[in-house]
Amino acid sequence: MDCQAVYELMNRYIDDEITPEEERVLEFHLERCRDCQKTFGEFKDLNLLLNSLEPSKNFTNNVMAKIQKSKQFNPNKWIYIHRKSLIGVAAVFLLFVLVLAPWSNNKNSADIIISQGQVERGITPEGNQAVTVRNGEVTIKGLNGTFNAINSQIILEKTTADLKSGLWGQFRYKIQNLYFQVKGWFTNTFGKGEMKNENN
Amino acid sequence: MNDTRNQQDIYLVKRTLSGDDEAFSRLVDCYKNGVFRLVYHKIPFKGDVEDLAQEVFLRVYKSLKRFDQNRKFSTWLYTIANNLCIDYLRRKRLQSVSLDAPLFPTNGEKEVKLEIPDETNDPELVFQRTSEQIMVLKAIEKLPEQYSLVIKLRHIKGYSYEEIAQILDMPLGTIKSRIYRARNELRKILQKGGREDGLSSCV
Repeated sequence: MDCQAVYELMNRYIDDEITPEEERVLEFHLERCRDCQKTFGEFKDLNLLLNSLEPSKNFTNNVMAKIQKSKQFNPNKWIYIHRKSLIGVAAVFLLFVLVLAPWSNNKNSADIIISQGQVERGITPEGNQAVTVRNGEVTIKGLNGTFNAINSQIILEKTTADLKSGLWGQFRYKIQNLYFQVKGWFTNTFGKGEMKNENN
Repeated sequence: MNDTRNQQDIYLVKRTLSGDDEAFSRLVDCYKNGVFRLVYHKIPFKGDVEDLAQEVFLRVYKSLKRFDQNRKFSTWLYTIANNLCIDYLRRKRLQSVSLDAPLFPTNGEKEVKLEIPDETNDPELVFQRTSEQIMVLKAIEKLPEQYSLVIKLRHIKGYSYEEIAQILDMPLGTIKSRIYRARNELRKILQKGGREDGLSSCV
């Protein structure tokens, strides 16, 4: 390739229009032609000088675009900036759940969600309602009666079980309650083919 | 006159703070040349000038709330530009240390100063061009008109090849080859100029 044709490739390189193949051709030639190497260096210097005579035409637009980009919601950055308030919000939320959740339970109607297993309903000798599940998975939302589970996994949710064990018992009950509720949400959302059964 | 200029700046600052980004883009338009020139004078690698100048405005936008509106906006802006240049140079210095500098200066030897002397604290800088810029601009003026025009459109006005073809109502191919030739001529003029300078300094 003659040097005249390489000049065009140099210009295309400077304008950032060069294709990978053309770039290989240019490199191949430059490795073998000292004159063109020197010229290419001068072209690049010249281009740098020419381009830094004035701010580019898009200067203001680019600045405004950068500003917009910096305003965009970046979850990681946001969490970092607001980490202190986030801890505060989480603490308040947890406190709210711990303190208020047990009270809200009492208003809920009692029901049992049986995900799988054999269900038997009946009346205890004392006259209370009773449900028995065999080989099943059960979620209890508020229990006002007797519940027997045989070879079953029990997930308690919003139980109104009567606890008469003082402050410590009360506190433990609250924590357990929260735990059960979270587990209950899980089964409610992801449980397999739930079957609802009223127990009242 | 300066006062009116500053009053307008402060007005635009207030508009920006109240959420009007259009007002800020007007401030950028007013000061981009000044900031660009200041940065150009301060940093050695000219390829970074544009980016750094844009960075200045980003910083200004973010710190606008802290700007004391009783002060002069342009002074504050150029202070920020100056500080960003100093940060930039500090970063660059950490990356590149002269090979001639002794790693551990002995007693008699003074520690080699790696600081780049800042002789450019003149506020007038924002109105000045460097000697190499002046040299290039003079070289452009020496070109035949058909070449100097396309070079100016391309590199000073920043138009794309397509836009220049439209403006001059000429085929794209013609514009490209004209710019290629213009660059080559310019390269030759500068080369000759440099050699002449070298000779005259020897004599």
